[in-house]
Amino acid sequence: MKKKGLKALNKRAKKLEERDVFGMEEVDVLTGQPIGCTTIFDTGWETNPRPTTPMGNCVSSARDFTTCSGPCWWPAQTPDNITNWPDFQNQCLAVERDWRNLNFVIKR
Amino acid sequence: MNRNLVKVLFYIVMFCCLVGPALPVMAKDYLYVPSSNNLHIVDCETDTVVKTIPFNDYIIGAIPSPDGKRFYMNSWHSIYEVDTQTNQIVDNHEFWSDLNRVTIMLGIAVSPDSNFLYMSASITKKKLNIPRLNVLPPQLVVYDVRKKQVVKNFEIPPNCTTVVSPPDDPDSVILLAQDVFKLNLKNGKLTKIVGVLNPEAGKPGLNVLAVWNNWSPGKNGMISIPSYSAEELFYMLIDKKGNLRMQKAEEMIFAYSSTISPDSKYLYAAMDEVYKIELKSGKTLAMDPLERGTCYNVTLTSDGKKLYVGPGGPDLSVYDTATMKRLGIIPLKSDGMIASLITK
Amino acid sequence: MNKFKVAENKTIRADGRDYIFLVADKAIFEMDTPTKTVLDELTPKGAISRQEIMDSLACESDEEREALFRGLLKRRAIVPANNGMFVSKKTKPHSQSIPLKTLILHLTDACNLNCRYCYHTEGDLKQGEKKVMGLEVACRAVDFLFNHAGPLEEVVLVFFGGEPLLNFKVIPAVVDYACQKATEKGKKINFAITTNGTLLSEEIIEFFQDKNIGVTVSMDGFDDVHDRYRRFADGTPTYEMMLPKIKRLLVRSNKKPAVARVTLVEDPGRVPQILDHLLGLGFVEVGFAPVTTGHPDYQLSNHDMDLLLGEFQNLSQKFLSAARERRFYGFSNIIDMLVSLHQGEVMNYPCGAGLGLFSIGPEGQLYLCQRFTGQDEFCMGDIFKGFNQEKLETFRNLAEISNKADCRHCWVRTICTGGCYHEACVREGNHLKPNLHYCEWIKQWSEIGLDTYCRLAAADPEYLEMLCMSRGHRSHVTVKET
Repeated sequence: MKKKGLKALNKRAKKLEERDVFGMEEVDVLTGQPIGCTTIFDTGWETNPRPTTPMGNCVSSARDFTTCSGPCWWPAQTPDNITNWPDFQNQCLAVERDWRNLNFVIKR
Repeated sequence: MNRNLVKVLFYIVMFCCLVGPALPVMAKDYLYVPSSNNLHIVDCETDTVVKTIPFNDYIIGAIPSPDGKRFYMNSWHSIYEVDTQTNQIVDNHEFWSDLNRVTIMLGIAVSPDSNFLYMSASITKKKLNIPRLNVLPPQLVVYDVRKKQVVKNFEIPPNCTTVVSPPDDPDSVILLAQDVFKLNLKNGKLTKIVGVLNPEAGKPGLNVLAVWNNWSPGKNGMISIPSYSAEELFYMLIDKKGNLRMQKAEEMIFAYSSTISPDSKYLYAAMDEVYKIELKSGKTLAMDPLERGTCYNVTLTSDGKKLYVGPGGPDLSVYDTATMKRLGIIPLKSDGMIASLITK
Repeated sequence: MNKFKVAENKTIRADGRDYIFLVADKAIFEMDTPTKTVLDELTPKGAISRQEIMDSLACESDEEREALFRGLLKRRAIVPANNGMFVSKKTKPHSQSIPLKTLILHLTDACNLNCRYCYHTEGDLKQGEKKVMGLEVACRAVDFLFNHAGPLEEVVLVFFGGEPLLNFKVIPAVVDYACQKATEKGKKINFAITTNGTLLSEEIIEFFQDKNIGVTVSMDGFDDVHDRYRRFADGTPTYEMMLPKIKRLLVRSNKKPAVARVTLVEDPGRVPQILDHLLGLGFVEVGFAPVTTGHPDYQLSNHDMDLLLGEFQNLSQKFLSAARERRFYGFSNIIDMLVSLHQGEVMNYPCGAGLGLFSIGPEGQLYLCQRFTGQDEFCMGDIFKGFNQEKLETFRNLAEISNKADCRHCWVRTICTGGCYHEACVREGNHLKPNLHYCEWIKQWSEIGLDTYCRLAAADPEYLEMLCMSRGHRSHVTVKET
């Protein structure tokens, strides 16, 4: 395969190369979606601080979980609570306290 | 109990009743804090939860009526009506039926006369036996609370996360969507006020999380929404007449929501820290890192002396606004996002 | 419409190849010619649309063009145009506790030498107030270190002064106590000492070997250079009397090789000879530091600094030649620069002072670093009552790079970060200011560093990994033993 473009030399460059870019990078911080919410693939800034915007994510990321659930921001982690699991919040009312109750949900 | 004693007590009570009305009844501040499956009512004098109303639902938005008599909380499919005198849920207005779903997105407001609810909604219709959904474009729904019926709906731009009903302008609402619009409730006409995703020429695009729409206390109360361009912070300030102005912040801070003191001198904002800012100059006067972690909402008491930061997780952090020192933490039963002041 | 721009960068051409240093990310890439052409073409255009970028990519298919674009975006060679650097107060550092990694124990104010350029005799200490650290305070300092180390697996204890060997009597007990504490806490502790070398007895040398203590000797070169400024209080020269001790030390120290630290006052032309002389004695590494002084007579002139840069460049080339043959030329200055570039960590502060590194005064006070020991302004509390949180947080807030307006648009800001606080205090009058007096020098030195880095990365990337490991960094690359 023809090697093209840039070849990473230092550790930081290698880290950049390992990232998965899913088009998020192309989008400016201007989407009507707020800064401060974690992305689908990051747990929270405290484990993956960004050097530039968007900088602040919820601290801890648990504080974001309930409020940004459903179709808002955690679609891969929390089930849809509009149609299929309207009582999902019962599993875990306060994430910081009840996270051990979080479990898989299975649609039969 | 001794009969005579009863009589004496009766006369004392009568006497008190005669004297009573002459003494003014002091209005008290309460915080209504909905969270998953619970509505907490906090007495702002003692900073304790005096009542918790249980229900089984996930609450997205909430707003008090302008007359203070009702508190409305919406889930995706219904709006709970709470009577603030008795602190009980008196009704649950259902918006879903088999063939018609009005799914309430973020964004509910109450009309100035407290009779109508405005909600940003997605309407989906279905015909019996036809396996297809008809999804209408996003709507602003006007609902008559007394008559319990939708009286009109207007097509609005997508992504409306907050509806603001200015108390001094009953004929329009302000919609915070991908841009900020004013909607004329009489004819459905939309006017763009501020470009957010689609800025006007020469203006920067903005990032705005418009979710919290509590009026700050006092007769000059405003709604204050932090808005970020790539390089600067602005506060979007909406007054009771529905006028909007952008106030540039001197300093970049990160805040989900903000509110303004009754004398309009200070702005309080919070995300991972809580800030007290001099509104005119934009200077940060004080800051405290929130020990509990990220909080979404800030609410002031009507005299502006105490600030409640939260919820974020199951708690409210109480601050003294003069010193910006934390006075205490009020624990809640579950995670929440909104708190509203009702003075009654 | 989304717009993009070429990220702030510095390009290097070395040995017929092109390289790019992305400033904000401190990332270094090799560029092939087509990519260089594209970036050269796009840079002057400022903010441009995605389509414009695509149009400038000479590829055979749309798919290839897309992939190339994504590749540049991923590596942040191209960034969204609105991606302005926030000029914000980063509230994050002080709202979290930073673990303590290194404590420098100021064992004594006293010194048996009277080096003319010593920063400690430049009015910092009043005469007669020569304090000595007792064993009790030293052990409490050890406790403090472990109590504040948080999740760190390794901590460092440094013995300093004055001349720490004047208070050698506390050292063995402190070392034993610290080792015991380390075992209890399941952590590793490393020891180091900086000494003028005149008191290195056989017993002390054996002790250092036995307890694996890393030794730095302050030595300025061969006899006449060294004795110019480093003499006993009565004026007796020191080189001759310390030479046998140094030789003994260097013969014995094979577990943790000893290094020399040279303070340069004048005559940069002699630097290569000094380096070779000290390496010849047996020091495995030698580092050069221009003197930090407020006396104009002692400061290196601009002309001397230029000459010094030239010497450093020559020495870097010598280092590179040795590296190409997998040999090691112990010129610390270039090694530090190469490690910093290879690790690629973007720092918001120029060093660990006031973050994970503090010095402890003889009575247990906490200072920003060893150069500020004894100065109240830089006292951040003490080991008994703990940190003065407010003062410390104020410092951390103010010292952060975003407060150095002069640095904001400098391409070296992620390498230099404003420079040493003490140097700034002495030369600029304020420890929070960047070291503007040697800005240009640092920029040029950084260019030399980058050039050396790129050549070495092209020749032998494993060597860079080994260099980093020797400085204590972990590697995820399997380095073959030669």
